[in-house]
Amino acid sequence: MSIWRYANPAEFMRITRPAVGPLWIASAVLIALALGWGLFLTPEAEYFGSTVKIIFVHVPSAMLAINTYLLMVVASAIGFVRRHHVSFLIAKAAAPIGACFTLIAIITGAVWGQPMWGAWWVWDARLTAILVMFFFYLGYIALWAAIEEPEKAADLTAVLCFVGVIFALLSRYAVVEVFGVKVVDFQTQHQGASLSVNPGQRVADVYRTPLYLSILAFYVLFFALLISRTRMEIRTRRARAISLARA
Amino acid sequence: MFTDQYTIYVISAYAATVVILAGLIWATITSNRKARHDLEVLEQERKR
Repeated sequence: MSIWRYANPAEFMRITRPAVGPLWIASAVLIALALGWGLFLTPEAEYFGSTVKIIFVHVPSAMLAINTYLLMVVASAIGFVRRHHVSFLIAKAAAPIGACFTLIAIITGAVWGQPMWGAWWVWDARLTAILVMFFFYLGYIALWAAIEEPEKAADLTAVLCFVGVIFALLSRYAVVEVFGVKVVDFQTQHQGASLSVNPGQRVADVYRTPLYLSILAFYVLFFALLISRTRMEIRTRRARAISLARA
Repeated sequence: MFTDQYTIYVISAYAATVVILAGLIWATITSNRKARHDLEVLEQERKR
């Protein structure tokens, strides 16, 4: 059976209905456990002190900020090529979620940067790219709201989404090393990946399990939000179609 | 648990996260409820 049947709004609503409640409950439990563990049960680091606890909210938020944008690009591309409304609505539903996670990443990064770097903000490649990506999120949301015709809004917002993808990639891949050679090297003060495969770069073992739990919790919350918001968008679109048919 | 001078930064980061996520969850639940209600009203009117 083709996967494209899930692009049917009625089918999407039928399949996702049983998942909504359990996802909300799981996300509430996991977020409480992850933030409680990260805040109260992890030790202070030798150099970073208690600021190391900020990674349990900053890292998952930054991951979701970037990955949500990439999901929007993929959903928009599918919608653009195959004209599936649900794809466009998934992208539309994801935008406010991605914007909120980007805002959390920016704020928690700034709060960490002040005591560690001596500055709330520095204009380096990764930080600037994520700030521009945040403005793309806002522009995307505003464009959907500004255009009344859904087909036209879907196409134009998809184009805007494609343009902004470079900043999503740059915020993650400002520095790329292949076999010890830097193939992409923008100036950045930002740390390397907290979950790097290189033991010299990644976080200490004592922080890794709560960090994985925190990432899991944020992703479960993301899917609860995404499914709920997509269902809302489908209902709103259906209500609009009924209203127009009556008029 | 917290023995250094950075406590205020850590608490601020967690508080900002919780406030933003709570706002997003609240907005999602209320707008979903409104969309469901509006659609039910329209479908009932259409059936009549």
